[in-house]
Amino acid sequence: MRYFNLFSNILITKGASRILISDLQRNTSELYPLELCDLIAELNKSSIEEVLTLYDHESKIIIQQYLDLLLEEEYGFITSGDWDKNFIPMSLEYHDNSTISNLFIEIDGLSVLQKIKSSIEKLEIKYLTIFSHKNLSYEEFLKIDRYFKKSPVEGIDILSPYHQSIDDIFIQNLNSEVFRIYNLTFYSYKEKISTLKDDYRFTINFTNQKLTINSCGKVNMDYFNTNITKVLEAINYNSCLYKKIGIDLEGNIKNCPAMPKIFGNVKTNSLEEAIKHSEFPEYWNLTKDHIETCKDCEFRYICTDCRAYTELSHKNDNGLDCSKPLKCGYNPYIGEWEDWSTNQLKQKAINHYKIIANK
Amino acid sequence: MKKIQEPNKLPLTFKYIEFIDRKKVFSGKGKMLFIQCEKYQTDFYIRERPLKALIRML
Repeated sequence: MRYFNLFSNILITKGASRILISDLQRNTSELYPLELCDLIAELNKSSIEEVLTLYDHESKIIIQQYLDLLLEEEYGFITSGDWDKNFIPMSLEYHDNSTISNLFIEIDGLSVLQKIKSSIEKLEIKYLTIFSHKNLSYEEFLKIDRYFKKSPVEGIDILSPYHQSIDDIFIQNLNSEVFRIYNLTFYSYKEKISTLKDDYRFTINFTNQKLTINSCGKVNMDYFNTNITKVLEAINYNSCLYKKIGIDLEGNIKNCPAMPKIFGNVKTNSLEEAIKHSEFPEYWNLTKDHIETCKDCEFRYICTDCRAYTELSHKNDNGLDCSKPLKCGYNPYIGEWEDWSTNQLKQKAINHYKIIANK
Repeated sequence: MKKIQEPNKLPLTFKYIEFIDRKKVFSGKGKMLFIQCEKYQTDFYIRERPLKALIRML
């Protein structure tokens, strides 16, 4: 008798119409038909020979093809006599030792960064995302990097409006003088710099869109990440808001700058005080398994959630918004993507957020 | 590679050790960047990108 053993690092996420097999060692994810999930479950209970007896001649050929695929993709291996019991299942627990791991802040000047610098150091925040409404000069980019020169900040992402001074010399000089910045996004650009190299310390994006804080929360395949840390976080916690802190343009401390609930203001409160608020971590445990539609989606552990913009259709027993993210156009029941912004069923929620944004 | 005179018998895995190409790791695209961190008292703090998309605006 031969037995099929699935490697411990292979995670199967069952959706309503397809399955996603994630290889957490190679950081890859592939889509497969739903029936492969049932076959893997059968192979986990019975030997290959016993499983084959359950099928007619034509189906046996398909089963064999599936087995070949599982071996070819190195999702598992075959043993004879019994399953190999030396490989225990991988723990799906997730531990993050930081109090707050990332901060998303809207700014229209650098003074607020100076103000919260000591809190960022005390809380040992690893990643900063800075959305600037005003043009940032060369000196201001340097200042931002230097504010956190000796702090535990591991990386800074800056989004800033494009302006005339930004050219290849600007970027090259920045490349030699900044250390913590890992990504730069220039929005509202008129013409793209054509001579840019691609071996800078940071990645650069140009977009002609006029970005605002309301632009966030988009769900598409470009934003999916397959790696063990991200996937385990998504299995156990909310994949966007867990250990995130946000500060809006007025200095209000929130879970995300685009969310309405306020836990203090940087003018009067420290970040440490704000996170002690009993409701600050209320969304942290809301996983994709408890969000409408997402709970039936095969991408739920590689996708990143959004609680700032949702379809506003469901609330759970604790009063938390557990509706599908508004800016997701994927329908897991038919396995198809569509343009979320033209979906008639979303227009009520879209209008609601438009009204809020214009206030 | 210089032959190492090891007095004790080495584990079998020794011959499978992959040597890091320092030139590749410390230069060029995707290079490892060391930064200072006073709090952790090191000059060899690694600049890292987050493992997920923290914001999704584009």
